[in-house]
Amino acid sequence: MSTPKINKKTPFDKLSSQERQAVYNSSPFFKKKNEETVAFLKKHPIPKER
Amino acid sequence: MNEESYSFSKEPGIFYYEFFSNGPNGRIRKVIQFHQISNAEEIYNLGFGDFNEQLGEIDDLSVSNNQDTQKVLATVAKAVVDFMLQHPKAIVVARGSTPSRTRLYQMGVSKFWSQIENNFEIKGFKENEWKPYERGENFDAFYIVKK
Repeated sequence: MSTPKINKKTPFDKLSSQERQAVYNSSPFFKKKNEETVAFLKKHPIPKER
Repeated sequence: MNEESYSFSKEPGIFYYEFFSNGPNGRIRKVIQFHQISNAEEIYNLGFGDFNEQLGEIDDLSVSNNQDTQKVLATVAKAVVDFMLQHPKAIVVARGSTPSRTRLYQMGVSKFWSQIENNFEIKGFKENEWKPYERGENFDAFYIVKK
């Protein structure tokens, strides 16, 4: 799926849902948090039998 | 869940929810994101933070002090339940970016435990293993699945 290009002059409220999601997904905080969780689950996998 | 909460916005196929916290420090856009982190299973990481529109970034470490912690926690819990009902095979993982944030998630789980335990299973990571969630115990991470 291609990432929508964001026009930074567009007020945030006017962005489409896909554009907002792209902004959130590219947020360094979320990126770091997702990477950390992937690393955590590699070390401590969720049991297959739940 | 009958606790007072904010109404959130969401759209089909979009894995984030937004709502506004209103309080003495103004109107703050909050974002809850479910990011799929495994292709093999439907494992989603729960992300939650304030959105800074000037910087275009999420800030999880900011403390809004908007005197609405309980209402915000109730909103996050409702968003998680809403997401799980739409994605019944999902496993949602929650880890705070700091121990105090993880405790905040824990407060949310504890607050709604009696209302969700019949429909959802929650396990917490503690002492190097995943254990059934129990009130009053501190965990490093959680995951929730629909029963």
